[in-house]
Amino acid sequence: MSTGTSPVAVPLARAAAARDVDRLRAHGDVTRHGWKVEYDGGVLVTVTLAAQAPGYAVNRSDPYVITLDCDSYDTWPPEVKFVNPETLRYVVGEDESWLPRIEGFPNFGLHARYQGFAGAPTRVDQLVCFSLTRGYYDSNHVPEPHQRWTPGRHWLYSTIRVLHRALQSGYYRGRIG
Amino acid sequence: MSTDEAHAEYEKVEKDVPKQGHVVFTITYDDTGAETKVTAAGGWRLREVIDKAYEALGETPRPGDRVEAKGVSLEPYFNMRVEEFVDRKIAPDLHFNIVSHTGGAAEPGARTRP
Repeated sequence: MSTGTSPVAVPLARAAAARDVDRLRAHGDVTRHGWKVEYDGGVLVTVTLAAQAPGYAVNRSDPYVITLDCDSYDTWPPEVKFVNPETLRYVVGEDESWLPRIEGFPNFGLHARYQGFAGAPTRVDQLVCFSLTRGYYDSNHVPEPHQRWTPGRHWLYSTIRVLHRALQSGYYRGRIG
Repeated sequence: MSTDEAHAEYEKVEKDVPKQGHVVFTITYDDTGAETKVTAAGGWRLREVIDKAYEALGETPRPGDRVEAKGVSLEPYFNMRVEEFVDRKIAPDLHFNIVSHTGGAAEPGARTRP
């Protein structure tokens, strides 16, 4: 029986990440929405997205720094985390204030401390959970066939676009902290 | 310029420049990031614009697909004519997104691979 995701050879994951970072930077939404994209040259992509809660002035937004760990990419989706912008890490018990409060967004879970990852029963970590994140598959979820991460169809953009939508005024309610 | 080249250039201009009274919509398919443009006559229904976009994108509607402009569903306007849709400035930048339904946290089950 399979238990969650599985590793992808580093050179393959790195090549897929590098290819899709280039595609992402060329996409019109980067300029359209002011996404900031950074890449470490390996398998870690960092994006900064702007969130707007109801009642915010047009030019007001809250920035969120999100890491997309592509170490199993693109056989599997990236592992997504909202992180401390200073450390680019998320430490349970210390960094919850960097999480957004998102309400009513369909099929989207954000857990500040989740325990129950496949193959790692003692691991406690942030879980961003929808079918275009790796955590979804590592936390005992099964998508409908048309929702399943599909290499060659889904890519970094597909995941980031869902995060962008969740951070807009229909669903975003400000920082947790 | 040869006759063939001139004809090709003419066709390109015909294709790229909307005729008077026509409206050019940009549609992004969120699932793949693909973008397309649809040139619509004022008398078209919005639903026809969406149908053309799917066709141009090489996609078919999936269960739960939603068409949005800046996060707002356009479904209430699907039967509206393009000219009225534009006059009412419902999506002033004429940019739509087709949003596919993702799987979410409410569907626990056996572990699986994509």
